[in-house]
Amino acid sequence: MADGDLVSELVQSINASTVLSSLALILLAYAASSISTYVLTRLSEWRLLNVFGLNRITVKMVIPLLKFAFYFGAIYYILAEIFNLASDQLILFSGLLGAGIGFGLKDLFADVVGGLLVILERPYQIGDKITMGGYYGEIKDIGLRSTRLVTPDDTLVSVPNSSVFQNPVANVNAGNLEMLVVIDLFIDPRCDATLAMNILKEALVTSKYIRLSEKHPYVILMKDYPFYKRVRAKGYVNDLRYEFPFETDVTRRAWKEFRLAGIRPPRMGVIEEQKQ
Amino acid sequence: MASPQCIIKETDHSSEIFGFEEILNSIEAAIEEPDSDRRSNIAIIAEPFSGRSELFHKISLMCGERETKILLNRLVNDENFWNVLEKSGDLVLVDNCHLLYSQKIGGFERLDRFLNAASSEKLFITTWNQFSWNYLRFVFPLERVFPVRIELPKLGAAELEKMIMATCERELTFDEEVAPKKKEWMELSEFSVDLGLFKRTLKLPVPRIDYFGLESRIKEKVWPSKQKTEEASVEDKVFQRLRDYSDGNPGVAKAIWNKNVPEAEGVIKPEVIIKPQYKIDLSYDQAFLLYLLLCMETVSIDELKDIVDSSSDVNRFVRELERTDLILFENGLLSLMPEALHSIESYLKSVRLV
Repeated sequence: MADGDLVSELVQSINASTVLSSLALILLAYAASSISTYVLTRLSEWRLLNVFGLNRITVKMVIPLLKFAFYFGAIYYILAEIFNLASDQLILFSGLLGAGIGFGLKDLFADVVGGLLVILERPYQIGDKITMGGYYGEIKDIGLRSTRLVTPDDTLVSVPNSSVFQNPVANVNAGNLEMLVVIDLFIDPRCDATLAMNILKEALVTSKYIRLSEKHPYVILMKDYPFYKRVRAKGYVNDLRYEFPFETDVTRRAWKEFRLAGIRPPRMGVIEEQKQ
Repeated sequence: MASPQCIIKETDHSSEIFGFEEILNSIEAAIEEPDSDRRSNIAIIAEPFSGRSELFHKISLMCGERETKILLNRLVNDENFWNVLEKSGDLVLVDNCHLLYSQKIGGFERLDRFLNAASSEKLFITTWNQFSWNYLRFVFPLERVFPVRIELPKLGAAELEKMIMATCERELTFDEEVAPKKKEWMELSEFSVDLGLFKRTLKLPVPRIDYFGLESRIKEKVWPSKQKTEEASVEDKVFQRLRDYSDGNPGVAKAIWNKNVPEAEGVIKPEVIIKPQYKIDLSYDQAFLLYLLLCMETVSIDELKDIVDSSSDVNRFVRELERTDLILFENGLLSLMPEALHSIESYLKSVRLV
């Protein structure tokens, strides 16, 4: 069959009925994906999951997978069943699609492929906290085209999925609910650093948000700088949603105790004179 | 060598003890070990109400006059404790060591001092709350100081039966006429789903499964002949149910028994033993208070305020917890309701606090 015939057949198969059916199917895929997202999101907040050794991130992992399955299923059904394309027509359609991608859809195509890669390789999942494209936040959704994350100041950022090809992605929890939080306190270099370390250690391990286990140890470090000493605590927060309350809780209680113990914040730009 | 005894407050202990005979034997062997180099400090770890203090009492009777016995039932604050510890003989028994710390900045000083004392030549036999131990072992080298750790086993139905029978004042009559009727292993209850988007609440029927009933039903289907022989006495069924619902914890079993079995005369049927169920929905701060109570077992409101460092909320939280029947406030002290122990534990697991 000549290419001209194939094109005319393809064009002929597009009529009101097939267009409406296709639209209806796309709407159906959208509805199915929205409903499954809603149900799984609600299910993921079910507290008993933790008792069974699961967590909300493991449940939410299924959401993008279902979303892609619904949309690709719909596209396949539209092409194969509604337009009833034969194999040579499919090849022609692929050619047209290829030309489309070449002319202007390449970014969209790269985003969809990026989305597939994210699902298969899982550099991040819904619920993870990541730094991507210069933004830090919790992943709220992995869509066909973009990944949405919410920053700590509640800004929704959409990052194209294709950026996983070019930019590094830093994932702080990698699918777990616990995440390591680093808390730095800066003190006057003349203060007792050992006492400060001990206070910070106790502020850390007594926090209601801490997670302590073999896999989740804590550490207290000290570093000397010309104008101050940095006391650093590293500990895992129970649930990454409590990252900032954890940091605040430890910092607030440590400073309260520092003041009682006479440990002061640094005075900027003052270097202790060396006594001869 | 006879040593001074520091009895801060001794509680009543039943003279009989059930289910811990093997542990008693191994502790006796450890105490009698003539080579002091081979003697290791012992930590007995168990959840609340599991008979830890009763076992401790038995051990102290076993040791006779050799030991220094220290029973703690409040957070340690007085110097007397350290004086006694210093003057103690070569065998020191300390009950409720979790009362040596509080989860706040500066709250580990006593425990630290105690661990230093326990690292001496003396043999320390100590008891610990399991939840406190699980927390403290990541903060202090507890496992190095107490190389021998004994976790109290769960009691079986037969042991619980002996325990209940030993303390029961009246003659118990079990309903032998009860027909082996089918148990309702599932019932429907309502579950509300808040549809925020549509500003409506949807009530869905949710099946609640009685695992005991389900287990019996499966046994009936899978091993019909065995089930026939297992058509044990009503008495056995009653105590099996008690064991399942208390998870083998003697204190919890006793509380369930006292709550369900009437004191007056009357026959006892398996259905009388009802699983304690609590609907727990707390804020994270309230859950943390409950966790502290689970670790400390007994605490005053002031001590709790001192730990959580937000006095205004503690009174309100405690009142709310009291209303849910999860805790008991008596003589100025808060403690857990024994029958609520396992509901509290699974709730705290679900919010990742234990």
